[in-house]
Amino acid sequence: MNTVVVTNVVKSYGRHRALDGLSFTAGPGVTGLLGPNGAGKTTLIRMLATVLAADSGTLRLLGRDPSAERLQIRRRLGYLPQEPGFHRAFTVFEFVDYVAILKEIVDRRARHDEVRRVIAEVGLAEVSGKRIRALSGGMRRRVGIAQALLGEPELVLLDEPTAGLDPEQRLRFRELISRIGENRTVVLSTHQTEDVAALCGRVVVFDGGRCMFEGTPEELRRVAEGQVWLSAERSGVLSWRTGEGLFRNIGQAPDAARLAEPTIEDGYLLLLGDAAVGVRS
Amino acid sequence: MTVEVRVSSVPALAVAKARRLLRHPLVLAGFALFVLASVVELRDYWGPRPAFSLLTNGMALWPGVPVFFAAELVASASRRAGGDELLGALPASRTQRTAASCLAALGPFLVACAVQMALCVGYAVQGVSLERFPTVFELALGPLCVLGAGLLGVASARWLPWAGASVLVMVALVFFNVVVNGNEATGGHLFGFYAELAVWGPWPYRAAMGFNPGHTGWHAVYLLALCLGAGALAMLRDSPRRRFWLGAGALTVIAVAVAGLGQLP
Ligand SMILES: Nc1ncnc2c1ncn2[C@@H]1O[C@H](COP(=O)(O)OP(=O)(O)O)[C@@H](O)[C@H]1O
Ligand SMILES: [Mg+2]
Repeated sequence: MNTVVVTNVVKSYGRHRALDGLSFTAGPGVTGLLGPNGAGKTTLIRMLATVLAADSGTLRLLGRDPSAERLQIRRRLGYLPQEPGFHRAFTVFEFVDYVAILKEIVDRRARHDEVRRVIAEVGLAEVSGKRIRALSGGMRRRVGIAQALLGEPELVLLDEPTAGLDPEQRLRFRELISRIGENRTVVLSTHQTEDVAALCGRVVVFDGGRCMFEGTPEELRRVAEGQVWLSAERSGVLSWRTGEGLFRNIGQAPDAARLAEPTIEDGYLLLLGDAAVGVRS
Repeated sequence: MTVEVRVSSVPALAVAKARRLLRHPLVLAGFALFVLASVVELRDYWGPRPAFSLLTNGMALWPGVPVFFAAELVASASRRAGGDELLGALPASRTQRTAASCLAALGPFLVACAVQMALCVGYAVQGVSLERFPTVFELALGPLCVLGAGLLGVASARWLPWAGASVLVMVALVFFNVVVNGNEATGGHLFGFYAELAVWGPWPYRAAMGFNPGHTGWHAVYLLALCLGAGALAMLRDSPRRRFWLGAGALTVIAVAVAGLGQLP
């Protein structure tokens, strides 16, 4: 069953169309929304989080209509915004506890048990008495994930959970998120193809508010099959010099070129075309 | 399918917010100042007039003023932290959060009542000289000011979401109080929040000069109506039941007017 069904959704800010007839579905497991900055990822995730309404098109979340049954959806939802504002003077425990109250876990003892559980799950048990302002960026992000896990939500939305993390933290995050995705639907946004390759069972590529690809990471990789070339000279829209001194070209085959095995990144770049190198039509 | 029994998160939220409010440094400092002034007064330091004043409306200044600022800060904490996006996707609505903030104002109010009772006992035991002992209504004035300060702080946080707006509100309150109180030394009427019930007379205020002729019972009702009005104002901001809160607000305005006239000599 699909937890998230988005059909033909349009959302405009003034004259600018942030989402332009977007459709996709997501079910249990980790689904990655992949796209460059400004693609509309945050706009879409905010809709899935029931904080933003679509101008037109339909959304079904957990089998319900968010415009009519928002509260029922919110009770089964976990959400980490792109820029979560934390009460910096709170301790980790106090903050997560506060969110737990707002998630209607009103029994004090049960709530405290749940708060301790999610804090332990993201590996912050040691610092649960520390003030949030004293934590590093990566730890704060984990506090954000902890609160999203309160009450065992069936749908977890994470907006750029790995942005700004160093490689070691990124690795720990992947481990954490893949564990979360084992028994529920996780939708995360990212502009990093490595995240998708490492984490996601499904990937939705979009740009300019439109869906350009929906499938598995392996399928995304195969988009570039037969179109990645190694050669001594630069050619095509996208090409760059690799460590071995050869140029990696995506697109048309240059002269005297050798076909190379594509990566997910190649598929993504090929899909985006000009947008990937910052030229917009 | 199991039937979910859901309880409102407002009571638990109100308790959490009341705890935050009571632990706020401003509130702690306000109560500490009041207790300090009381301890000094228990040794009959200032004489009967200030002693009476402290027991009836001393709390309007502290902890009243600090409670206003603390309530504003606690009620606006998530907005100032940029956390409204995260909290906006949770089951408890903004209206419920506002309601909890309003209920949390009962925390300082109850503490103020307890402090007031302790002070009464202290006065009785120490035999602090008073021209007469205050009535229950007069004793309620201080705590009512504390309650109103907390509720107005929440209303201010909801309606004026800008840094420094609470300072302007406080300046307006003080200005209002000064204008309507008239001459404190000779006894004005009781429209202010901080209204002098005893006539102070000339310095050093040792001689008994009688009392303000207004009805202090009505003054307590007047303050209570203002408190409820502040609460209705706070709730009006984001509640989907606008009509209800407008109606409630209108009722409190009528109550304020009636009690305001009733307290006139
Ligand atoms: N509140 C807003 N007002 C106006 N434009 C917005 C607003 N939020 C987003 N946008 C615009 O919508 C587009 C998509 O933004 P966003 O969903 O944040 O993309 P992403 O998260 O993929 O970077 C961008 O061009 C952005 O400038
Ligand atoms: Mg974004």
